[in-house]
Amino acid sequence: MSIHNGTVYIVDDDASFLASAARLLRRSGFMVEAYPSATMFLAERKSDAPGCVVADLEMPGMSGIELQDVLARTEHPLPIVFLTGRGDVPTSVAAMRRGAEDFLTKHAPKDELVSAVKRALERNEREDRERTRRRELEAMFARLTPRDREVMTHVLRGRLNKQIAADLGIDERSVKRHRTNLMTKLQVTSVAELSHLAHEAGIVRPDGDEAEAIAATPQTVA
Amino acid sequence: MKAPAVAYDDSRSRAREDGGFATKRSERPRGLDALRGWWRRADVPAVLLFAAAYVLAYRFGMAFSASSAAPFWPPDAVLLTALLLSPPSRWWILVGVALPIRLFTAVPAGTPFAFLLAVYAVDSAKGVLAAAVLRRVLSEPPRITTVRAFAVFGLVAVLLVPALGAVAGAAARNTLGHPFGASWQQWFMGNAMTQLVLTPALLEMCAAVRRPWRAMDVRRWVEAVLLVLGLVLTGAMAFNQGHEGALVTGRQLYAPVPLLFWAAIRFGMPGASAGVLIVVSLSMKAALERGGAFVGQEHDVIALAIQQYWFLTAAPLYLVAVLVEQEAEVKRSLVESEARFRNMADTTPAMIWMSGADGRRTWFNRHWLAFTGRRPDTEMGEGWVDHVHPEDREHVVLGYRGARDSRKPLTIEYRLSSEDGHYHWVLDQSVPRTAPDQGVVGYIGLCIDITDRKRAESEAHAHRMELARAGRVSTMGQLASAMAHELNQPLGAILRNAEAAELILQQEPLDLQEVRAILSDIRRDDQRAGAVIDRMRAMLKRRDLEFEPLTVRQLIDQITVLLRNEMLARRVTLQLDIPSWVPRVRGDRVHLQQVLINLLVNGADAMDGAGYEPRRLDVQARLADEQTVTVAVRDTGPGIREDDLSRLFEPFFTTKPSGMGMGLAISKTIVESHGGRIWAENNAEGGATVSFTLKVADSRGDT
Repeated sequence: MSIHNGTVYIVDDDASFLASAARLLRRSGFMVEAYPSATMFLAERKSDAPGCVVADLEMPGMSGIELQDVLARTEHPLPIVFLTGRGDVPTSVAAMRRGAEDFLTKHAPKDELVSAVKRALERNEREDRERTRRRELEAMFARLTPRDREVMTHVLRGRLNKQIAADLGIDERSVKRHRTNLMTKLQVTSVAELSHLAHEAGIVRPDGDEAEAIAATPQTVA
Repeated sequence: MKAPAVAYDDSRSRAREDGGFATKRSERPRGLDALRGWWRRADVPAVLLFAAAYVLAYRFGMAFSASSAAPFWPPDAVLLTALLLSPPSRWWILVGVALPIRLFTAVPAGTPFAFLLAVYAVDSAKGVLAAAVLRRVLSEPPRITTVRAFAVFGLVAVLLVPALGAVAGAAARNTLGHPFGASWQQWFMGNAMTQLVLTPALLEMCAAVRRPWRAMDVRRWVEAVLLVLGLVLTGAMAFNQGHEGALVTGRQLYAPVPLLFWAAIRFGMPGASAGVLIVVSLSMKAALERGGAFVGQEHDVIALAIQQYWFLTAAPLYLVAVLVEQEAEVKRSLVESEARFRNMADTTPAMIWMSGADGRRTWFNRHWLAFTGRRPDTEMGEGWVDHVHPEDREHVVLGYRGARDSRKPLTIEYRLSSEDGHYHWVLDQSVPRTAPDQGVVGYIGLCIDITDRKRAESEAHAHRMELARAGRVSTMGQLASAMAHELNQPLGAILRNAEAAELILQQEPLDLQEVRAILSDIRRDDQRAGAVIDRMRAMLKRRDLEFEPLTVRQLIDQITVLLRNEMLARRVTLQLDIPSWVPRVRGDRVHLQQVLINLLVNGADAMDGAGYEPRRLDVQARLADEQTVTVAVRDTGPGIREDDLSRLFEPFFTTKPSGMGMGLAISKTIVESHGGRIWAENNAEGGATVSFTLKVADSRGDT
């Protein structure tokens, strides 16, 4: 009956609160798994399963913040919604700065809790997608030879073939061949497309000057 | 009943004054003053009295035939009596006064001067020797009233000294031509008999004169007068009537004897002495006149008869009188010690009571009666209990009963209504009274009014309570957020469950079973929240100490629930080391938990800064000795500065920016009110340990 993609993992050492929160979220339409401690959760979670974490901030053993740190270092970090018995400002600031989705008191209104969980799950989906795309791009760029990569850097700066040849100390034909190779490997047909892809892969900083330079390049080439 | 003691003391002190004249020679007054001083020092009237008595005695002694030694020689008795009554420093005066009397009065014609001198020397030596020995035995004033004194007197003054003197005397007479053996016997017998009969009587007379006048009741007077008449009558019958040969066969000689013993038994030494003097004078008169029983007898026969008669009569008579005196003395000293006790008890500014073996009160001192404003007859027995405060009555009665059954001393405090109608607190300390061969014959108790002390104590107690409460409140301030969290857990759970239930009610099919589970969970969480609030209220409540047996584990378990989140938030691990063999302690649960909370929160505060990881608080309980459990709270913080260690437990001493400085001061107050102590020290491996001791709970149960 789940309307969301992903599981809500609730972690709280207070058995009573754990049970009631799990009950509520389940009845609100989420898939829920309850864990009495952070270590138990980490031991049992499937590392690539989507979802989010609702965790008590103060727990014996591993605390909520520590759990957040551990999760952040994994391949599939999960967004965290923190619950606390006290409205402790310094702790909540620290938690949010580390990327917590939300920071709620244990008796915050239900809607706040549910929407925080929804946001966390959506964020997880989004981040998951982004992570997948980034991995595809990385794989594509990984196919380039070092010379391809050098040539591409110059192309993205808007340099002409002749200039590139002079810079790299190779002849103009070789430059053209590398250019064709990398365009093929990256499945792009124009410099504009190449520039876009490079931006998406984060190879080129979205620098104003360079962007202009790149934008001017196709006209020059054409 | 006080008279004897007073009289005794007076006579003693006067005797001391008399004897003390010899030491008053520090100044040398001149002229008339010198004469007066000398007069007083030499005690001229006393010397004159002695001289007169001596002249009389000498003439009387010489009244018997000069042809033999006197059968009765009173000068010896007079001299010995005078010597015993005077300090040795004045003996030379007495001996000196005797000399002219011996030389110039009643001297039978033709007695050689040398003989007179020799006899005088012998008599003086006898007197001084006997007096020197006896004055060590006799008390002041010199009287023969104990068996010991009588025995020494008999041995020295009656036997030994006369025997020695008789040797010298017989030797002197021998020079006049008398046979030594007969002379010795006559001399000895005469001297010994005189000493035995006369000296105790003379001493008694002198003591009687010096003794202050004591009222005698009419019946005693009548008895005394009858006795004197009887003695005169029987004495006259014995010695002044008769016929030839009566001395040998006459049983009437013994007519006065029963009366003499009567006098001795009823009147002691004074009675015996007076009786002896009466009968002796009658017998001597008859003997001198050779009349009555002595009609027609030879001098030697008369002397022997008199001597035998008096030896046989006086010795047992005086012995009986001495025994009577001794008995009376024991009684007197008992009465006197009783009187002394009463006197002391009545003048002591404390309330004193006595009870008998059955626990009923038999006596109260004056102060008790004045304090309570009641008469002895209403207080005796169990009467006094009515005036004990009704709330204390049972406690008091049971307390005394318990002490009586176990024969132990008892210290007890209770309220007693005083004369002004108010109740006063008294501290009553009583001890068993024992009598030889009887064991405990009752109790004697002493009470002091401790109302003021009690008031001060209760004020101090209230003050301590106030402080402890203030401390709890301030600690509660520090704990408020932790308490809020503690409440938020169940409240949050209730909210979530309620929200879940609302959702269930909107969904089809209706899951009633789940709703029931939710309701049950809500109830449980509500109770949990209630318990948290109860705990908080219990800690804030103002209350007196309630001692009960507790385990350290119980104490700590209940507060770790309170402190759990505080500790979690501060990243502090709490470790308990409380072995099961640590016995229960006696204490007030809430107050002791207050102490533990203070120490744990202090420890956590100490580790707040960076660099003290891992932050650990160890609570350790150990049995220090049979009676004491030590609880130690150890942290891994920076420790305590040496300068601060001594001031740590002072009120308002704090090292924290926001601290009130009351936590440890209050902890100290609480621990000390439990009879324990608290101290802090730095650990060798870093951090500090605060420890306190508690008394092991009595295994017989606790009150």
